[in-house]
Amino acid sequence: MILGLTFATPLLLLGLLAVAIPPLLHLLARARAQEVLFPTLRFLRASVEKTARRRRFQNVLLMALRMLLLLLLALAVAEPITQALGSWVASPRYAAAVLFDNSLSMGARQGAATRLDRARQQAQLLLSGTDKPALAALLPTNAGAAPRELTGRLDTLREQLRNVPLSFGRAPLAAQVATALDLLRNDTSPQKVIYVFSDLQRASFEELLASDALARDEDVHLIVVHANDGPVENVGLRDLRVQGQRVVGQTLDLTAVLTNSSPTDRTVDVRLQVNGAPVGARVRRTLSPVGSEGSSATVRFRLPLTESGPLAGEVILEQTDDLLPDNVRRFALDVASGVRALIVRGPSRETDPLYLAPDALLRIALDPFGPQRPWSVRPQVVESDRFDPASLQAADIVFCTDVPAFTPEQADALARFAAAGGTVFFFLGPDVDPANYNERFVQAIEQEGGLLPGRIEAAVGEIGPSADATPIDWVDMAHPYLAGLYDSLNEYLDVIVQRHYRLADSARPPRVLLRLETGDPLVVHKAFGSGQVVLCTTGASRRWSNLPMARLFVPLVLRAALLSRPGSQAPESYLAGSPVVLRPDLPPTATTASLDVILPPDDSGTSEVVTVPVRPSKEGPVAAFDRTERCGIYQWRLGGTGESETPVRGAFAVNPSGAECDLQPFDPDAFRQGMRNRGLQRTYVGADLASAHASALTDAQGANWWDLLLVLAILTLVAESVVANRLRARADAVPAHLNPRLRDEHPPA
Amino acid sequence: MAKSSYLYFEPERIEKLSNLNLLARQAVEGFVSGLHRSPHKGFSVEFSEHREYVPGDDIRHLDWVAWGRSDRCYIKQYEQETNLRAYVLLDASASMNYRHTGEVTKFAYGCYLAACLSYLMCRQQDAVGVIAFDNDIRFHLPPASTPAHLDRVFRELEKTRPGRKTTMAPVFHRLADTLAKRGLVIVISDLYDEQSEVLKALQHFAYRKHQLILLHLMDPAELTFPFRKIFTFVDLETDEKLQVDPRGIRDAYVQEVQAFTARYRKECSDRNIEYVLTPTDTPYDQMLLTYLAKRRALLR
Repeated sequence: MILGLTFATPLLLLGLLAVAIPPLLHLLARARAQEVLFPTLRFLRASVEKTARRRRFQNVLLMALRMLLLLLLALAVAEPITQALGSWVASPRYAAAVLFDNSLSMGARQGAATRLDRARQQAQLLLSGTDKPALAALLPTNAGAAPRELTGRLDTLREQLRNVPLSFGRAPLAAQVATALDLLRNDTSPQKVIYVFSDLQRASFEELLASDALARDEDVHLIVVHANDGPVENVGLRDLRVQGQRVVGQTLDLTAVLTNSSPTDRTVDVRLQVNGAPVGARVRRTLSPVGSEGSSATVRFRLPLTESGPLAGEVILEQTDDLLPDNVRRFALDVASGVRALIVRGPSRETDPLYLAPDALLRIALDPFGPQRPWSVRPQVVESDRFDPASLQAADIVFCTDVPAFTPEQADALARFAAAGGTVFFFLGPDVDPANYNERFVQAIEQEGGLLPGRIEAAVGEIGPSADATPIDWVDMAHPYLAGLYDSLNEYLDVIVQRHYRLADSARPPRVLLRLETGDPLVVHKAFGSGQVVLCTTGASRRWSNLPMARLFVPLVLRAALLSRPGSQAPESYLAGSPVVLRPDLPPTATTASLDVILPPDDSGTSEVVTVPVRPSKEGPVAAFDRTERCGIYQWRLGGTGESETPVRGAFAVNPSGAECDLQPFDPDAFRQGMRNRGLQRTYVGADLASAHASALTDAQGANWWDLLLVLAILTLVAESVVANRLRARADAVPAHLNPRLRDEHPPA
Repeated sequence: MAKSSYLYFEPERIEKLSNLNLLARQAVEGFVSGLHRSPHKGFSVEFSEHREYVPGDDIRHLDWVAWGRSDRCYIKQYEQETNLRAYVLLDASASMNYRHTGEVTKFAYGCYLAACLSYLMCRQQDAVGVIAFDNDIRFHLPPASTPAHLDRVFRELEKTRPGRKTTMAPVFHRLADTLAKRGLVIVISDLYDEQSEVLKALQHFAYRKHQLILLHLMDPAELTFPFRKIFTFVDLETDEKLQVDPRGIRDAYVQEVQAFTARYRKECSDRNIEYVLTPTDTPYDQMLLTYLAKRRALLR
């Protein structure tokens, strides 16, 4: 700024150096003056003496005028601006929606301050400077449902801005811009601007780039002030996946994904910690610089589950860097005790070998090790004619294998068992009476079209060594019972069936897990109430098919058993800011109960307790909790008892957004160009408010061809002067006979 | 006329001027008339040569014998019969060795004039002497009117090279004292000397009853100073240097030169000296024709 002026094209102020041209030319011309012979100097000397004073004055005046002309030209092409910068919108009254990015990446420390601090400072400048908007609204990107409206009380906004905290979530920039547009659309101010104070994090701005919201409001300007100040050193835990059945006796696979945002190689150590105690050895990884192959890496841990109940753990990155919250990723699980499986079997012939018994191979599949070794599933076998419905209370899953028929009480008990969350698995063997099944489970049960996935028709196919067998030709590899077992479909297709029951078409077709080449389903699945029903149209013995001997049989029945434990499939963690639905183990009628949620301790070590009401739902009593701004392990217990010693009933983990640990920024020019390619011409990006305003101001005035023409004119004048001087010099060229150095070689006549 | 073997004598340029001889004669006769009124009239008895009769010649000098033999009228001339002694004083100083864009230097131009005048006067039987000088006398050929003398004049002019500094006033004083009285003195010079001293020296000639014609040679560049960019001018005679931006002083320079020539013009007029400013871009024959015609008109 010079004398209160700013310049639209300050770079062209370099033209001020041109002021030195006239004196330089003068000195050069004097230094390079050519010698020429002349008859006498008497008249020249007299003329010089006579005109000396006048010439000195004229020369000084002329040089001063030329320097002034060049000075004015240089200032002119730099376009001095006397108006206030903020009034680039050509109106003293404009409305601004101030989007303030308080996502996790803004917590990155660069030097003495964080990006959030720098962005806050720039936003304060906007709201307190002489160019402040007449109306403004403050929209932190991660502020939940804060009130959003345009106001002229900028002092209030400044106060709010001071208190905007760093969040652990991702900045939903596109959604917030849409909100800002809605705000501005309803305002009558002549000019409208959306300011975004952010770090240009690629993940968020790519989303904004793809958004159509801005394209609909072409009269709204978008000014992005980015708070980046060079590269940062950061390795973050981007993701943590927990795979495996959360049942005692199983082993979980934990896979953590590391991302390096640093411009250099980084070597880090990662360890697993469960309930405060380390598990296994730390793992070391070296990651390549950001943007190159190898900037991401995975770390795997195995966690054997030895106890049932809540389990909280974390994967920790030990080295410190510029962004600390993404150096730990937590998880919380509810480990179920052993699965209680009940096998109701039909009659078997004493002379039959083991593999022809209806339950033998099933029992081996569920408990391959026997009582000598701890295992997740403990099956109990009961004869079908001794099946007591009351025994279902002690079961999580019931396998009905080749049961000829059910009494109405048994059928009703199985339906209620499934509706309450249990799993019923039918194997239809040679002793099954389809009519009884259809009557008891289809006709007698109105809920969801009956317990069975469809009406059972007559069995088809012959058995025996010379009889034909039908292979399966399709497997639902995405179903949780079968997913991830093998890489390709062909590896599943080792099942052949000689005889099976056909299913009639149903108004509610079940999900087919295995299908015969003939098109008949072999295994189908349907949800029933809170539970599951699985039907296999052939038996669990080797009598009608090789299914019990096939490679997919064990995982199929074992997974069905492991996944039958209620609550064991809850997410291991939630993202900060996400709502959490808690499912307390309460009677369906417990509508007056509440839960106490214990938040993770804050910086001072204090844990806040939040009470949330329990409400009934179709899936049982639930409690909705949405105060998940803080990262850590949240515990909950039954509330309303007035006792602080009530035992903890569950826990869940809240982690920062994984995308936020990738601090790679968008190139400002590339972002602006991208927006312009989408037709959003009024997008300006600057490293601070002043530069963003200057960019906007230049653009608001349109393409200034005058500058270009002026520069061309000046260049043309200079070129003309050079050419004219050269021509004049040629015209004034000293003939050889007048050159003192050549007078001997070139006599005058 | 055959092509001349002399450097500064171009018969074809003189011959193509019709009546130049007559005009010159008439012009010179003016001097002669003046001289006839002087106490030095009469002819020598020593025969020199014949020349063809032209109307106006005194018939007493008609060679009747030749007329009888050839039926042509010839006038007998004698060595002492020449009416006029003319002296051509040619400046051969270094400053004369200058030309800007023209074809000839001032010195060469002066040589052409000296040769031409010598030829014309010899052709009308007047004696002409040529003296070249700078700060001293470079050569001195006493007046004569014979072809052999003319040949010597041409050869001496060809041999002479301009070179030294001009100091013409002492030279003029010396010549004024030594030259026979009542002659015609033609000074060809750029007159780059102390002006008042030169005028005094010219006055000396006038005092000795000489009639003076001052042919002031100037290169056009000296008169108009056409330079535009900054030059370091080097004095031809002294090698002194002076850096000048011509655009700033041109007007003053022209005024200085005009004042210089104007003073000569006025002082010469006051002393009954004919002053002729002669730019060297004017062809010398054209200049002579114009000058002699003008002079003839004045003398009538």
